[in-house]
Amino acid sequence: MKRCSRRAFTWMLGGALAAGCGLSGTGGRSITFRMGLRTASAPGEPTVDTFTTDTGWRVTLTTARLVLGPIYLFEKASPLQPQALLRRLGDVLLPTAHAHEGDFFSGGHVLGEWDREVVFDLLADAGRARVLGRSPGIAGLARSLSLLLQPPSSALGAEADVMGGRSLVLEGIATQAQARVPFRVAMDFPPPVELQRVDFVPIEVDLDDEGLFVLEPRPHRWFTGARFDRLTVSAEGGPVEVGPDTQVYRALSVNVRRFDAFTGAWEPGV
Amino acid sequence: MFIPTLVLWLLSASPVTPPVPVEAPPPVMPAEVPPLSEAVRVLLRLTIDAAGEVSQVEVRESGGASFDAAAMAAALRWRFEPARQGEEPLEVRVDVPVTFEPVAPPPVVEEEPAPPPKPEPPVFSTTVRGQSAAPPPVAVSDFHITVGQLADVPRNSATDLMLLAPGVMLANHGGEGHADTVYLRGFDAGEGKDVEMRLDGVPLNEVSNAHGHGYADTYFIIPELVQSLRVTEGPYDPSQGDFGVAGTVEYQLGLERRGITASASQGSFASRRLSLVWGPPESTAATFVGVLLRQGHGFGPNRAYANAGLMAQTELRLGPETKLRLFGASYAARYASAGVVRETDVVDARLPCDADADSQFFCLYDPNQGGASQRHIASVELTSRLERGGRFVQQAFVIARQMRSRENFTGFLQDTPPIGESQRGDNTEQSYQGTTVGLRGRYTPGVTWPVELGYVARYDNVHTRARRLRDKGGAPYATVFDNQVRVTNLGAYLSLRGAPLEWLTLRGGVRVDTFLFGVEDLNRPSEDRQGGRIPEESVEAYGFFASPRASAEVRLTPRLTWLTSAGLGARSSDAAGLSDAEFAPYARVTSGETGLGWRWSEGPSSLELRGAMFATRVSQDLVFSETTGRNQPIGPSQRLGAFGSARFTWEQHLDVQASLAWARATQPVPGASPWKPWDGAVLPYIPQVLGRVDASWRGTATVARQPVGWSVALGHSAIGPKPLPLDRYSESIFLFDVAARARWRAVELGVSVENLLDARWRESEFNYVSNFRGPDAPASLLATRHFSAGAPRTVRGTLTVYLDLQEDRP
Repeated sequence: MKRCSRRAFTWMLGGALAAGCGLSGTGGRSITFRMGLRTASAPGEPTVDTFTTDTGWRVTLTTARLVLGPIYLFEKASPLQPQALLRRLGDVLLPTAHAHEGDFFSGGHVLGEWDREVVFDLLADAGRARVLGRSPGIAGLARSLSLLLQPPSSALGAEADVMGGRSLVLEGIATQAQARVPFRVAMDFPPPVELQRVDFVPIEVDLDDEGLFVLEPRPHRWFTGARFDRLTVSAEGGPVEVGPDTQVYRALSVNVRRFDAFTGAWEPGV
Repeated sequence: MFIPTLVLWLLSASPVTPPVPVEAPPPVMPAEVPPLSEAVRVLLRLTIDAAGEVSQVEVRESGGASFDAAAMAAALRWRFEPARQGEEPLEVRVDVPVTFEPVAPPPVVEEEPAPPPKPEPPVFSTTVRGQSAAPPPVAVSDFHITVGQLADVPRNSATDLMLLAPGVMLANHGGEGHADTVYLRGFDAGEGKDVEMRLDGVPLNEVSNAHGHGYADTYFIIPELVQSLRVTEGPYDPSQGDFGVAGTVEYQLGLERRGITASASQGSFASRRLSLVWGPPESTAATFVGVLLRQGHGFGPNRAYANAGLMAQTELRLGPETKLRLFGASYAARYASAGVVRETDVVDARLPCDADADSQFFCLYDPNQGGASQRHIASVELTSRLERGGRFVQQAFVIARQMRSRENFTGFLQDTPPIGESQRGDNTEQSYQGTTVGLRGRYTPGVTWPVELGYVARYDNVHTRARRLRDKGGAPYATVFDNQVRVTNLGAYLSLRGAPLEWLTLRGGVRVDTFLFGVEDLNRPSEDRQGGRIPEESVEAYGFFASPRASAEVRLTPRLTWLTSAGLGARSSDAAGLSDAEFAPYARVTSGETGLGWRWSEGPSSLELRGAMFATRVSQDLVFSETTGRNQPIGPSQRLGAFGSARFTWEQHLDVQASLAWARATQPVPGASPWKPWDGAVLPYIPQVLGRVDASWRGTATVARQPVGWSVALGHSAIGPKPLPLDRYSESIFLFDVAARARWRAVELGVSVENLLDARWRESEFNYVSNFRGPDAPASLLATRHFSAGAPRTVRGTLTVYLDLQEDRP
């Protein structure tokens, strides 16, 4: 009876509903896409684990793990996105008025998200994307992203064991001329959330069904301004534990949360 | 759950005694007409109520305006012994021909003088309907719905009776005791913000209710005492007041059956219902007492409820021309609520219930949801019949009201906790308490003066507050708003009716409403830039609105009528959102419709068909915001729609009502032409296609040589796909409710099944951002679908006992 009733109802009223295409007309379009992670190589470098910092240190990473997520893709552009000269001049001459300080940036609607945490090994997949899974979203142009860096929560389970309760673990060797500094950094990003958030990451991806959005950490950017020569290397030559009171730690702490520490790419579905 | 308890009309086979005239003075020959050369006949249709009084007169066949007026004036003075079915008095319609004869020529031969000319005494031919006659509709979508036999259809509460009107859908996301959200004519009318609700003239919409301006809970009405509803879809009647944006619903109480009807039922989910209604045999249907007790565990976790209500009314005759109605109601309810759940959590079985699909579907996040409600009403109505057939009705009412509701739509998202603390939870407590007093009245000078004057004066003094509650322990930690609101609404209307042509009737009128708002904001900061201050502030605002309404009725044939109506309406401002000394803005609604009505009746059988199309535009609409838990402005909106309905009654055996309605609600793009009501983004959640069938069949059978009365009833709701955000549609919903009863002598057994096919359906659906993972978990910021589960199959058995308490006559 139910099926007959449904069929009759549909036949009788189908013409009254959105003609043919089955769209309700409320605007927007729901999609499902895949979310992935891939470590970005430094320009000109064949591998992701080796790069040269702006201070001239050649860094080779042997371990690089990070707890990240959730990831949000916003409709609005990052205010830090490079703009045309004319536009920048206009902003200077006619600055935007804000009602109150809370309005300094709003990403607008979230068009896509990965709403869980994940432990990402930056060196594991040799430049290939690690697909996290399928994610709901809204079709359209996403122009900025935001993500959280935080200590692993219990929701991660055994996956987080490798992190030892830390948010970011990096090990490697920095060399410059004759200097050789093996190092190990274990970093926390405790609350409040304002200090965990990486905002304003510029992207320009046209989200659509079945595509793959890849978030790309850029470790070569994380070491901008790092002065490994200020670390004290032990006589035994073992890795230096980079503590919070060091310049390298502070540089990393700031750089990892900068808008250019990550980027994103889009691979349309086939 | 609703178990209809109206008596089976086993007496349907009994003969009907027509009304007998007790006092019927003849009409006076009109002085202004020339001497008659031939007889003039006027055919009147009288409605003679159960007390034997003529409650309504209409002209079926005109003899000319003067003769019509004279005949009607006389008819209003006539008194009758009421029609009866068995011993029970009935309200009936009577066709009465009144003949004015010419004066006979003087006799030439005869010595005796001729008898004085006098009109022909009335000859009665009666048509028994067993139901009251409704005044003529002001629009095709002005429905006077007699519940009658359709009370047999299973219904959860008196609120569900609204489904008898075309284009109505109800949804409840708050629990059994929380007002239903009404979808009417393409409007998401919320819990009353866009639909004016009244109970025999007593207003039910609550100004500035914390849950939403205009919140109207009809759960307290005892269904057995609802005799009829008047549902006016659209603002076409000048008597419609504040909140009548999508329309007006008026519950009209009465108890036809005299004696005691006691009913007890037990059903699924430990539901129990006990009702007792009593109508003293020596009084009319307007005198009654009803008591209703309901309780149950609800159809899933955290859905228990318990409530009790009492309604009583007495009609007193203060003389031959005056009657007084005293009405009182008391109601108290408590209920728990499961609220809404995220679709993704249900699919992934993440909710804190068993992992099977059913357990997840009916599960919940926050058990600290629910509410309580109290309502007390007293009303006095004085009706005076005037000499020339006019009426003067005065009503005074007092309402005392208290409610508290706790709902959590977003989990852990809204709070900005102190540094170092985690989110405290978004459970929002909305409380409302206060008093409403008012006067309402109307005056019709007489049948020859087609004018009606009416007024309403209403004063509300209420305290309305919303606070956030801690997830653990439920203690309030933040005040969202806290207002003491005082509102005075004065309104008056003038309504005119004229028939410039025999086939054309014009009605029109204008209504004027004024509002004075006084708000004490008790939630202001204790400090500002200039230093310390008292954390309170007073705001006053004034508003005025005039709304003309008109309709034209063209009688195409004696049975077919073409009605076109147009009108303006308004919804007052929520006082909580006003600024000091502001000229309070209104939401203006402009509406028009045109359609046909066709009616056939023969004896106790009748068929009525109606169909119309309409367009509506609202200047400032409100849509429920899940993040704030209140209605929020979205700008203008518009609707385009159509409906068709039919009601067929066959003697006193079969009663069927069916309707199909379509409406498309859109939000126009800024600057778009108001003459394109189809253009714009579709408003989500509002059903576009609604179908409804109510049917009841009654009969008698002989079992073991004993007469047994029986009835079967069906209620069917078909809700087409609702538009959802992101160009999606919801699933269609098809619900079937059935009931069957058998009565032997004074005992009746019944069984009802609601949602016969045990469909898993979503009563409400929303699309928004929430975080139910916990106070420390990363939040989802992508709007996603949430829903509240509809009731599964519910079975209930009912035992009813009818005690007539009629004393044996010697």
